[in-house]
Amino acid sequence: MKKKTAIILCSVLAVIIVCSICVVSFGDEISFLKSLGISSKQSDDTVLAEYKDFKVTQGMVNFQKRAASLAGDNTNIEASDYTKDAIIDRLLIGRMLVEEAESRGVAATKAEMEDNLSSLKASYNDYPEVKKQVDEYCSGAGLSIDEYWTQVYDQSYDQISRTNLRILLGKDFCKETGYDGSVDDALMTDEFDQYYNDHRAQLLKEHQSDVKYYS
Amino acid sequence: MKKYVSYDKLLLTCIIVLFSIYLSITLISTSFADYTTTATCSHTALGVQYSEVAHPHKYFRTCKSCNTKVYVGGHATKNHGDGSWGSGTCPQCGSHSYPIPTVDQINASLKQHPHIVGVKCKCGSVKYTDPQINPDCSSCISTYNIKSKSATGNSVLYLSYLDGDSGAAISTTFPVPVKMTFQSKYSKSGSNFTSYSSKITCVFQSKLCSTRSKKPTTPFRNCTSRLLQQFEFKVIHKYAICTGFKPHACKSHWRKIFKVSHSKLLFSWSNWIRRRSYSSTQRFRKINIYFLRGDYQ
Repeated sequence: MKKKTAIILCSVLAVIIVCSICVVSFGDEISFLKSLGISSKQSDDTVLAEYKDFKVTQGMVNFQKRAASLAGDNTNIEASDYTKDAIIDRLLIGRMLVEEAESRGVAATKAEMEDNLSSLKASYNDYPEVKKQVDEYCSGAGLSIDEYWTQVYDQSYDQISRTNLRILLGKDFCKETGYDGSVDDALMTDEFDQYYNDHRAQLLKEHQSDVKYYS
Repeated sequence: MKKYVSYDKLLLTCIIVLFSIYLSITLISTSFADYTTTATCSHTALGVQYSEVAHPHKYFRTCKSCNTKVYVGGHATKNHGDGSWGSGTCPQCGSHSYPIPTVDQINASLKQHPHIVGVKCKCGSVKYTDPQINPDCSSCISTYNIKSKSATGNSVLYLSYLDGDSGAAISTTFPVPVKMTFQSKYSKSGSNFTSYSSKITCVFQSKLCSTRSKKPTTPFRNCTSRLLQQFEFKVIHKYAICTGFKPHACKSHWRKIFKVSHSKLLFSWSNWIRRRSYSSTQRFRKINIYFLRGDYQ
């Protein structure tokens, strides 16, 4: 009798272990987005750097670090991309790119921002998987769907402006290098990646005197 | 009565015997001169050593007194070649060495059945390669019973992205329908399966994304080859930016995000594979898609 009970108990234990492994193995995506949402809530307003009226806070750095660590169980992730200094500079450059987009007349328009939002909303409504992923993120971030769309809309100004600038830089790249394909094709090349990264580095250098680091 | 042979007669007989032997040797020497060349002379003043032009290039010296060609032992070994005058080569020395057919030669051979390439040794000798099988050649198709098979599959990939340049990053997600096609030309005889060509294409059917195949085709020679295909995937969603994350970092970043969606891209050819009696482990081919970066537009 004891033997039988032991066998039954072992079997039950084995089933529980297998189920746990399955849940852990197949639940990565959900937990990642939810975790990302949770991370976005954790704010720390300590200012680490300042560029004009733009402030890089400890919360922003923490969020990027957290996102990298959530995705980063891969040897391809370069730790140097996620150091505090690297993240601070990246965020400062992001702001400088928006400024450049504005000065070159390619900043996002209201129509572009609304178009972007409606495209994302349409995907959310038409594809259950998109809805699932967005809802997952929102539940982690503690956002209602309306709040989420508001944030997406607000964030899109910077994104669209930088994208428009990138296209403009793609045109510059074609002119300077004599690239004979389309601008879209040029944007896909590794050479343009290098060109773009060089431009970013140069931008930070040029504005260095306006940057204040507090860390 | 004892009868004695006279000394003169005995001497004469000896002379005749010796002369006969000498004649025989001379005759034999003359007849096989080409092979033995053992001519010699009693003089000591011999000229410089040289090797004979004809293979096997034996070493000789010529007597300065009687001009006799004297074999002094050994032979020269020349480089393998056509043996033309002054080249220092010999077609019989060394061994043949045939170059590997060039790509151009192979491509040219595929135009005409049988698809063989003649490769030439330095000595002028020509060797023909084994016939190639061209799955597009009608003669090959009928000779080797080549068949064609194709399969298609559709899936939707869900791409999320973060703006790496923005401190207030918020995750957004959009769908990317993907169409995959597989084409193969193969022959099967008993348990032997040979694939002559295969092509996998993966098209992201979205204006928001663009793809470029790292390796647009993956030819494989036998059914055990793995059909892994890498596709580089670039997001050109107009307002998606993830700059700042280096390409390789982004790649793994996105791949991680889409781990579950990714598995949906398992591409099943189980129907036709089953008919071809494949083992169960070969029913599924996973298409590897590498997300290059959720970087821009």
